[in-house]
Amino acid sequence: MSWLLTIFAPIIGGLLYGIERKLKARMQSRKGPPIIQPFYDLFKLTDKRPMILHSYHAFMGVMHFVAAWVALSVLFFGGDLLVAIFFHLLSTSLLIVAGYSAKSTYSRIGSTRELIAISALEPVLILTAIAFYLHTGSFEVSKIINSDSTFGASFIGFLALLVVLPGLLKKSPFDAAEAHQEIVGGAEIEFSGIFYEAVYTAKWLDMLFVFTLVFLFGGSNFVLGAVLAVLAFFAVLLVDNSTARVRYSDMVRIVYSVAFTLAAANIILGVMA
Amino acid sequence: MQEYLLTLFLLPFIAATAAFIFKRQAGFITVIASAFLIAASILSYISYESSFRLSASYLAAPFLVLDIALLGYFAYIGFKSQNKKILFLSLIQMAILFALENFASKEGFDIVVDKLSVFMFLLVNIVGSLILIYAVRYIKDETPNISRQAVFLAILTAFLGVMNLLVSADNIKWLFLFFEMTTLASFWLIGFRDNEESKENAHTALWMNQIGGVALLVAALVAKSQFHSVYISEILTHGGEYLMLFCALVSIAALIKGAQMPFSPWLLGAMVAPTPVSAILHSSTMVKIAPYLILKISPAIAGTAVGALIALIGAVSFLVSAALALREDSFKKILAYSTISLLGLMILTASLGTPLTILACMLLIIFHGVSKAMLFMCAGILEKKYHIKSIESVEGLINKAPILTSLIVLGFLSIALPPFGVFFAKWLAYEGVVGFSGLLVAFLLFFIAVGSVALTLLYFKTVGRFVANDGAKSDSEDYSYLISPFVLGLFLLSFALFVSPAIGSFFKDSASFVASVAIPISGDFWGIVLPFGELKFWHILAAFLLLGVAPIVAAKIKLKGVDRAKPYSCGENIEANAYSFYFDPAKSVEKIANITSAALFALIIIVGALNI
Repeated sequence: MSWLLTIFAPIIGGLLYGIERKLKARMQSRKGPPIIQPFYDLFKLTDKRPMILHSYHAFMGVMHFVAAWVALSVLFFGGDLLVAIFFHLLSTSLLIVAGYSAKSTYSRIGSTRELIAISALEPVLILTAIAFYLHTGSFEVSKIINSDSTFGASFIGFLALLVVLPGLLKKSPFDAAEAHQEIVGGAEIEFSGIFYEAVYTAKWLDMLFVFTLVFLFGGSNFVLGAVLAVLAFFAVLLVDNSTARVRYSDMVRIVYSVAFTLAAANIILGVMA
Repeated sequence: MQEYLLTLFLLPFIAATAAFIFKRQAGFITVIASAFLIAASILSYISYESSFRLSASYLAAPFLVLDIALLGYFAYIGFKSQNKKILFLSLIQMAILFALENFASKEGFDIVVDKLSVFMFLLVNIVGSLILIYAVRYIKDETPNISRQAVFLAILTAFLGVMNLLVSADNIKWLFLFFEMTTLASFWLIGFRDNEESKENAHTALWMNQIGGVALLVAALVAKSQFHSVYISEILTHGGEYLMLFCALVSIAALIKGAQMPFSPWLLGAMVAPTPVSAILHSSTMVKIAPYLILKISPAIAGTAVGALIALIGAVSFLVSAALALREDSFKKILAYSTISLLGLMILTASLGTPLTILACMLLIIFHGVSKAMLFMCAGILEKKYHIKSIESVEGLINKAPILTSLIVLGFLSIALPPFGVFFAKWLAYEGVVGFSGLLVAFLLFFIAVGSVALTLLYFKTVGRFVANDGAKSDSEDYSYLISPFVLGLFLLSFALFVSPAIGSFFKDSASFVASVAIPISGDFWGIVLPFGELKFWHILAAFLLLGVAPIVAAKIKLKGVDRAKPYSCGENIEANAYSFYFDPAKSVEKIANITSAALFALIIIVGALNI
């Protein structure tokens, strides 16, 4: 099962992304692209003449994709949640390094914003992992999915994760890092052809990673986990469609004052209990 | 084992004297001594069976004379520079020193070389010696004056001997003497460049560290008057109502040496010294006295109010120093702040004193030492060879000096992410801290979580400047400079791959000695298993390939058959550039952190004295 999930992760992620685009379009009363549009994009991108700035940049972009896949497989193979989160950080940081290496203003501003976003989002993820530990007695995903659901016990921790989801998925209102209208995609801008495909696919994997985290709140109750993941998916889309982008500094402020506070309160409650 | 210990204790002083006399051969002598020290430290670890004890009461009188001479010299400095703090603190120390003579002490062992000492030998002598070898090359660019070169190398070499003695001293009066000698080395070397700024900073370092000296002497006074003993190991096992006061005083000396807020200015000011000094004294070895001392007293303070307060001081410095570093553009300043920050984490983990956090602290001691030594050596090369001090001027360096840049990037990655040692320390810190409950733990977790990302932000924004690549090609590296950092880089990479067996044997072994209980982890080539989590070999391998190998390959690789494009500039034809990101926390943040820490320092003494 772990093997299958890991190997087909890009395909599952692509479908998820396709569904998301479709739903988003329906919410805006558009017809929207077919669900397998991401794969059409894939074929088109691989067919294009590849253009790169320099090898360092292109190579790091590909490594970003590989790292995202590894982070996901740590989760799927039931590994340590903290390790998975660190791999997720590693994957993002490789994209950031790639973005910085380009002599492009947009790319560098994007990298900086991405980095600042991490500094707000990462602590919440860590505290989420610790909340899992407090209620299941382990950081290991294989143990968490065999324990009782942590959803009830750490409900405010769940809310905290919900608040940072748009940031993790780079969706409005927390999408300053790749704000297309101002910095034309941020760290991703200088990738093209097959190399952009790598970065693009990494995005699907990230999506899968994030919703797997949500799914874990269900514990051994897979139905609850799935329901939570689907609800979170809808919630993120709805928020994405109905809010405007906030400045990156405001994002940090909001995440720390709302999500971090909630996650921290959750830990304190967990420790006191 | 005696012969190796003798080498470690005496060779540095002999080599320093020789270097001082045969000025022209100073470099050669230093390199030979370094080789012997590295070998002796490794052999002392291998041949270690049980702790080595030595009683040397005949040295009491000569050491007292040395103490007085040292304090007299400090008082003279204070008098000459009209610095009242230095003068006053030296006189106080002298007074306490004489008061100490009124109390008799039981007989015991002045030198106790235990597992922790041997562990510290490895750090001090291997990393220290590599820095010495680097210093031989560096000092030629620093000053053309042969005798100044020799003096510089002699002080650095002798310093290693002092450190070896310090981590072996069980007699608190000896500890005090060596502590003050490191302060002296610090004072001389910070002032080495002999200009206004370095003199002023040297004086700051002197008076701040002397407060640590006072604390140690008062601790000795408590020890002699209440425990009738000057031997730390005996006092710690003895217990009693004055034990907490003793621990509080020792920890204050440690925290000052470790430049924790509000005593961080001395270490930041120390950056005016030549770079090998920053590398050896102010990042990888001397400041490690702080976690070393806390580790030594950790069995006594674990779970007490004093321990909790020390952990809080570490937590505040960890977070605030990392945040303050975000406003700096000077490469050395960034390294200095990050050192203070990580020392905070070491102190935090050591003071909690659970098996896992002690292991985390020891991992940090070694790996932070290696990474920082390497980074500081690279900073020295940047300064001397490329005349770069600010991270804003490093753009395109990756083309000019791919090896140097790769080493710098590796250095930063190795203190941020898996599979390098510092990551494991953080991982263990999380898993070790959650091991016991309480509100304090929750607060420490918040500090660790936020402080860690602040450091990540700092490291990656700096790395971002170093990888900035304009596509131009040119090669100009000075290989004679690169020897030592390159060796440390190789060490980091090989340790990254074999980190789990290393943790499972060497670190676990040393940590279980300090904690005096078994460490509940197991590690072999195939991974590490903790009580609440595990890391498999394929995780380590994947991280190693992605972070250890990929950046180096990326710097070397040239993709063929792919067209090159110009970056998108929105159709504008203007030269635009994006610089690094700076964040200046409100002035009040630094002030509040300083005041809070100062209050915590006072609380440590009060709580210790009241024995709560």
